[in-house]
Formats: sequence, structure tokens, C-alpha cells
Amino acid sequence: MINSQSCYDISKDVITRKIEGELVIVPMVEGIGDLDSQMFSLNETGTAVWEKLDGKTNLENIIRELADEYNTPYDQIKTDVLDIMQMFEKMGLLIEK
Amino acid sequence: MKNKSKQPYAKPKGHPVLNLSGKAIGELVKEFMTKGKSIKFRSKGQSMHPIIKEEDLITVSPYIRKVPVSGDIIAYINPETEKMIIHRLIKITPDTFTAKGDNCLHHDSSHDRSNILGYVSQINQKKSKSNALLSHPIKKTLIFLSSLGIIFILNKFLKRIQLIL
Repeated sequence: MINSQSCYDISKDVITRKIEGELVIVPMVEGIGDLDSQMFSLNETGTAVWEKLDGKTNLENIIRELADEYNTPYDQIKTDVLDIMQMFEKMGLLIEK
Repeated sequence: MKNKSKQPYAKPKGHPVLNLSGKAIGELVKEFMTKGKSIKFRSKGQSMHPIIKEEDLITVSPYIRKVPVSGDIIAYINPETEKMIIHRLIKITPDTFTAKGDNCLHHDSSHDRSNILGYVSQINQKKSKSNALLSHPIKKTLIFLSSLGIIFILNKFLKRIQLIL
């Protein structure tokens, strides 16, 4: 369960690379990346969320930063960020600090 | 302080990557090899037929506990095209290497060894799984047959037979 007061970091079992302007994410299973079934990429805002996950900043502050950067209501950003964070969590991409 | 936005806000989303170019796959493979990790993906092309067929799932691993030797199937970046190629290593010196597709008549240009990314450690064919780490005599035999163009000719012959049948 994603908690907006918690800090999250990216799992070490993930390799990312910017390709043709998009952040491509390849999770690893048993130390092997699988481009055939697990690879996905993020849109610009998804990438902004991903890049802010440093294990030190809590989600609440990340949401505030995004609301400021995108000049968008806090509540809307919060709903969207929690959605994508749940997806990251389901895929095992996060470490809660 | 507001108004630092780059692009209009859109809901953050992830989507599956369906088609990557050869160059993009090469970049990802390089990233994995640099971090000492293996990566698997679907092969494209016929140049290593019949060992690797179109759409086989191949695993490329970094050279960590072994060194490249003739007969290995390697993944390397062609520095001229920046594309990744999976071919058999047929000659290696301290500075350079030469590779060749088993199903090709001619070998590739020689390149600096630093262009080698890793080696094919496993091939998952549609019906079976095979270990790509063949014994030395088998590798030597494959290089020999390939250098004479015999694998190329056999493949052409088998394709003709399939068309007739």
C-alpha cells in the first residue's frame, strides 16, 4: 500500500535507459532482464515521478513539487501519482525506506 | 513560486514498448552488460540460422568469468552503423576481433575488441531450450562449415525443399 508520508527508492533489480526521448524501464527477474515481456516506458510526467524517487524525499513532498512544476492542482496530482506508484509497487519496482 | 512547467500536465502513465530498433536494443544490452547483468530478447534475421532462428528468445550475458574465444556467439556493436549484431566469433586478437554469421557467405569487418558486448548464453527456441555454450570441437566444426559456405548452401537447399513440399 502506497503511503504519501513514506520515502521510496527504485529497486536495484531495474535497469533504465533513455531511448529516443523516452525512459525505458526493464525490470529483472532472477537477475535477467526480459525485453520480450516486461519492458515498458513512461511518458514525461511518469518520468518526472520516477526521477524524483530518491529514497529521501517523501511522496507528499514529491507531489507538492510536481504540482508546482506543472502548475496543476495538488489533489489532481496526488490522485495520479498514487495511481502510478501503485503500478510501480505491483511490479516490484519500489523499495520503501 | 509557480510557472516552471515544461509541457502541459498529462496523467503519468507507463505503456508497453512493442518495437525497439536494433540500435535501441543495442543500447539496452550495453547498459545491462556494463552492470554485469544478463538480458533476453527475441532475435531478428536469419544470419545465424539454424542455430538461432527468427523470433528465438536469446539470452546475452556479460564476459565476467570467461573471456571471448573463437566459436562463441557474441553480441557486438558495429561502430559504423551503431547497430547490435549477433554473430559467431571466428578470430580474436588482443586488440581486434572478426565475427561471421553462420548462414552468411562472408565474414564481417574486423573491429576493436571494445565493441564486444557479451555472449549468447542461452537460446530458447519455439519448441525447445538449448544451451548456447557448445563444446570447443563443435564450435570449431561450425566455424569450418560456415567458412566454406556449407551452412549457407544447406539452408538454401532446405528452403527449396520446403517450398517444393
